[in-house]
Amino acid sequence: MAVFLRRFRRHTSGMIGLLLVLAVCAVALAAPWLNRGINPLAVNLAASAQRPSADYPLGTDEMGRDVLMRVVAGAPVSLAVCVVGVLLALIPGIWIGLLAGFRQGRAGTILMRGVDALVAFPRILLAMVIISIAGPGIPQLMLAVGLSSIPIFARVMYVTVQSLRHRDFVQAATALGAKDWWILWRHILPNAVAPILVQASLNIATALQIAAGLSFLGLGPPPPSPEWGALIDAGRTLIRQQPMVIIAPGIAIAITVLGFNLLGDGLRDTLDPRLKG
Amino acid sequence: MRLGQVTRHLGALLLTVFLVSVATFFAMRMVPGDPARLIAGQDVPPEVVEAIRVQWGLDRPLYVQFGKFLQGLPSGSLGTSYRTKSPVWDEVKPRLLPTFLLTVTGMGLSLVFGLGAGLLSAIRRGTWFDTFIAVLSTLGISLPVFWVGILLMMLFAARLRWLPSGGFGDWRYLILPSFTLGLGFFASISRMTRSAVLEVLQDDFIRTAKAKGVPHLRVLFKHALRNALLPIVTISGLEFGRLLGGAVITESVFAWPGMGRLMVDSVKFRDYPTVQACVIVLAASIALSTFFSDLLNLSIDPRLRKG
Repeated sequence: MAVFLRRFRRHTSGMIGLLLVLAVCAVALAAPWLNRGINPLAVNLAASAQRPSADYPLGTDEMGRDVLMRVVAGAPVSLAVCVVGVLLALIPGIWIGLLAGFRQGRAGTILMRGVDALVAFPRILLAMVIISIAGPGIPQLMLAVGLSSIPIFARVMYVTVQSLRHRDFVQAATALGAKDWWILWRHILPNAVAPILVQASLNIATALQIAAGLSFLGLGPPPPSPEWGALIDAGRTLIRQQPMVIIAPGIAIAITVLGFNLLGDGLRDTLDPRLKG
Repeated sequence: MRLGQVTRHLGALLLTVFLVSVATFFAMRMVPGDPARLIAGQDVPPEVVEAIRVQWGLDRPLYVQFGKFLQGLPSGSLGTSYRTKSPVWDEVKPRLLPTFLLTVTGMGLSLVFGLGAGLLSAIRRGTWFDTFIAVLSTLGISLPVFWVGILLMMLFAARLRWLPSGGFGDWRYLILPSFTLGLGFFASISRMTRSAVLEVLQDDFIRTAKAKGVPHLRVLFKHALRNALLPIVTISGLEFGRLLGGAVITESVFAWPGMGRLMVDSVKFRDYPTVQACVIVLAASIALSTFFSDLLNLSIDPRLRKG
């Protein structure tokens, strides 16, 4: 652990990623207190579509709502959707990969073939199919983002288990008569933490883009939810008068995605230098 | 190339499409709510809804409906749209070409620029150009595709008025959407080309070629790039699917009349037969692109032909 921390601290882009992620999380957590007494949902038509000024640092949208406040209020929504989504995918994904990889039967092979077919299928389309079944809304968006990333975790876990099961320490445990669940729990899982952690970080970045994309297409939470993708969609009518309505949430998405991508790359390089790309 | 290998790949392709079709059929039947009510619309008396149920065969047991669906598959019959009440295929067919055009142009542009940029960054490693491409590809991966599309539209269509802001027409309509779509793919191709070329350049056969006095450019293109191409072709085949996913969003930004917009509209309207048809057609195109990239790899690398 100490070695990992020392190595990670020397990884410049990984540290930048961590700082960006921490900053976005801090904004998301503090969002309810950052609103300077302005309700981000309150409509004020007298101040509609204003350009940035001292009163409104990033201007206002078509309903006269403060753009900066809307973006800040969107942080917990957007972040929650992708983080909860990925957490939802972790456990089923890990289990599928673990079982298919460890018990090498026909069932495992068939399961992984299915997973491979799903991995090749674009996640946003998978998420759209789920939304078409579940309907629009924030919990549904989490579900769509989560279910669509299960195959990727299953794949990563499967590959990890494959590479571990013939290693000496697993063979030794088998020879000593250890039960399967003990080997999985004690020997395989701890060694799979690193690739899963890396994948989780990279996956949150993709999940955020997918969630924002779905909201942009009008398949996310209904208005006036300040989800970032939905903000961009709503701002399209103001593209000429007040482009900040679109630019600001886009930058917020980009910063968060960049943060989780850099963090994931940094984790990969320091946790498992063999995978360094 | 052996015929057996091609048949095996083709078999895998057909199996994938079949499995996707079966999976979407059942997924669409899991939907809560009454399809007959959806077709009939709001405020329709129950007798009418019941008549529609019988007329559309929705009162039959699931396995009968499934049998009918399977029967239609080989002839390309994908059911009837809830929204337009016409065969789904009539909806899908005119959308195929625009989506194909957009995806292939996006892919072609990013392959050309990505390969060039990756190769140049590998040769000019550590220079400002290398850094510039690294920053550009990081941005390409991080920026949301629809946002980039809107900004490009804002600049080139609204402000400079060089290009049309959306719709379908001559080649000028294709430029903004395909650049928008290709940005992410450009990023991954340039990164991968860079690292693949750097790795190959350290191999013994490159040193041998140089020692033999083979001209520099020939070493680069004939020896290094050809060997670096293998992972790039594989990834391109896999990335085609992601590009199709990106096309769904790009089409909505630029009002491009393709499959993506049809799918978004169908999801909004809960037109399940059309959603199902879109999924099947897109899955088939993805499987087809994997098939072609496998064939391409077989022709690039003679070693693979033995397997």
